[in-house]
Amino acid sequence: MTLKQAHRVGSYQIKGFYPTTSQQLRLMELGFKNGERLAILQRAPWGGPIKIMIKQSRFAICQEDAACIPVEPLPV
Amino acid sequence: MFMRADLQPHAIAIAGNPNSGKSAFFNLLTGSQQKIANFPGVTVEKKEGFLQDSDDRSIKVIDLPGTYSLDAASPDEIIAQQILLGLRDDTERPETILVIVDSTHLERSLFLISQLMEFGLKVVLCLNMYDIAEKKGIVFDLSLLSRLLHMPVVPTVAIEGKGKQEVAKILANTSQLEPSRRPFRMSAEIEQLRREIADDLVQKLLVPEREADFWAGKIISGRLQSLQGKTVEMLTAAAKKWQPKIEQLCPPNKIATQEIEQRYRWIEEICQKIIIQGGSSRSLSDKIDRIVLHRLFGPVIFIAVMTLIFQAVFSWAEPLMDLIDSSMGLISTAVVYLLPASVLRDLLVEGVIGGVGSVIIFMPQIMILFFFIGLLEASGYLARAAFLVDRLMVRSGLTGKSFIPLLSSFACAIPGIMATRTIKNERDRLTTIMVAPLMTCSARLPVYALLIGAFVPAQIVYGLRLQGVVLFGLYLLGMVGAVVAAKVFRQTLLKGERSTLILELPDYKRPQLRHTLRYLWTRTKLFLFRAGKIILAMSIVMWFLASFPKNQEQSIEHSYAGQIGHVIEPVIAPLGFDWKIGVGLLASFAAREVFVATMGTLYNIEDADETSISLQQALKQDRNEQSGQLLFNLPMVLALLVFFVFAMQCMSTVAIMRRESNSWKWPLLAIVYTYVLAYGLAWVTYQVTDWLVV
Repeated sequence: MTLKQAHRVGSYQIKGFYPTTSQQLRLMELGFKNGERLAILQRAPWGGPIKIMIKQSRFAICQEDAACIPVEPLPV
Repeated sequence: MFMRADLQPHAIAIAGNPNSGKSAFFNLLTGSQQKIANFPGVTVEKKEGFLQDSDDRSIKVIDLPGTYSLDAASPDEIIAQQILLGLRDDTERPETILVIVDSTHLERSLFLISQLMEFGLKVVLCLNMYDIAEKKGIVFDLSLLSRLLHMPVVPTVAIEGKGKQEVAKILANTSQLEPSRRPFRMSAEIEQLRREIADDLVQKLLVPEREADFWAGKIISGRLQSLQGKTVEMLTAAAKKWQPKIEQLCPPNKIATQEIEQRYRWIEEICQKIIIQGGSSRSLSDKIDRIVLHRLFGPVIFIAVMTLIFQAVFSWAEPLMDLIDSSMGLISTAVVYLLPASVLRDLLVEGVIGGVGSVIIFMPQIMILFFFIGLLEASGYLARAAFLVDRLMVRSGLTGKSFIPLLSSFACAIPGIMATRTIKNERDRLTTIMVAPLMTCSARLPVYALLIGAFVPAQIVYGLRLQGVVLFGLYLLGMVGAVVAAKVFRQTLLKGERSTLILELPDYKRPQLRHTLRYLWTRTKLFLFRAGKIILAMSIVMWFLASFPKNQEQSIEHSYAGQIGHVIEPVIAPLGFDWKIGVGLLASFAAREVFVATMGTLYNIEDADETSISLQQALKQDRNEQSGQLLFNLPMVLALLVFFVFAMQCMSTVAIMRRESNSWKWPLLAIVYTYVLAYGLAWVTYQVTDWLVV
């Protein structure tokens, strides 16, 4: 599944992210890379951005970007 | 010949991620000795200052734009690289880089550090906000970190001034520092090719040896062109012959990806060694966010905050505006008293004091808005606001970051346009600047009040005040116009990659009053001194048009402005306007509210303002000179109101657009498009209501 489809608040691991656009390269520079762990903390109302934690930093990431990041849920 | 600026031992650059306390550190080092301008051709802010060392020598401090990376080729990242490489004529080339890092986010910051180390410059690392890291229980091995990175590491707390002495001491003795080197390695094949290219650059193009590796890396990862300039063109030409070899190794995007992975591998190694204790990942900010970003409470808090700000803008500003108004009156009286009647006196009183006064009067509103925007930014709420409204803004092709600038434009487009500096995407930023003047600013209110007061009946329809409904309708019309215009801009002139939102939600912080006031002061200064010149020039032009040629009756009808009014009458007649409205529109090109005073002059009513009953009566009774019908009939009044909704009649906005977009192209385009919209929609309004009423 992708980060966009991940509805449950909790921990995930990025699996097989390969950037093709410059925006995706930028995500990778911020730490969104293959094998990295992240946590979904909150979702904005009305299909807005997602608040996630990656490497101790909190980011708001919009659904369009979230849709290009493949993730797998980690066991609680 | 490979030409570049020489290294300046007495210049240092400050680099760092956004929210790392970089500005606070810059302020700490340079005190009040700062110069803020824009880099020519782009809207990236250029901040320079001086640090006095113990021997009383001046060290130049250049504040680089705050970035997470230097490679993604956004305007601020390109400029940062150009400065560090000595590719800019307007900035000295620093020999030393001071990196400011948020200690609680060292791991993320090491990415930027890994890039800065490649430049072969001397690097000094400040672990800022060290107190917060300690409180969170994070423990570092600082001496090991310093040894691994080959650079001095200083724990600092910029807002309390802690660490300044130590940093200043290091910066005074940079000759003892060693130049840094690229900290990571790529695969053997890529390294081999990189060395070949580097050797070739040294031999054929006389690139200095310690820089050759950096340029070779740029060539391999295909990230050379964005740097621009003659030197880069030369390197690009030289790089062509390597292209087949590079592609044989790996597709270009893959090399960039591998490079990022290698950097992170190095970062993880460093962190494993030097972070003795990781500290807790739970934060108070997350708890606050659970309420502030809550599905239900989030929007409620947001609306409450915005309402509070707007209440403050209007209610706090009013006494100050009255004060400015009466001081301007006093100054005029004094000038009239001191100088003999002359053209010079008229110029001073009517042109300079009157014209500039009509802009200065809005300074309290502008400054209060700046103050609140500064507070929101410093506290960390601005990012949350963008988070909450992103979905709404996406519909117009923008992101949540455009919301605060557009909302501010309801008070005044000037702070709104200046607040667009927080928008990193250049197209989004320009789009926001272009549509900001469509938001109903407070300068339109006197005009609306005059016309609605005089011509919209004070009736209550379905329990609603008709006058209030019309006023609300005008606000709504402006908003809809802005949304549609933004969409059109994003799909035509400012077409580009669909903008997405990725922004850091920094920890909440208690804003430092000193920093907020400094922010307020720099913004205000920028507006007064930069826009002020254009405003003054245009005030004088408008005064000249309205007062010359001199005639016996001293009437505005025979002035150049009156003549222009008559000339444009056929053009505006389809909207139901006559030459007097033409003069009013001409005069209000400088500032909208001038329309009211101009109508007062035209109808010979002393001290007219929007509540003046006699002016309202005069307008009601005026008849069209040709047809003999009432001039201000309902279709014409509605057309006039619609005209004011769309037309960008504000020279301060023109001036600030020029400054913030760094070209005349955008303000001129804004004038054209808003006037075309204003004319077209006023015409439709006039024709439709005329047809309906008859």
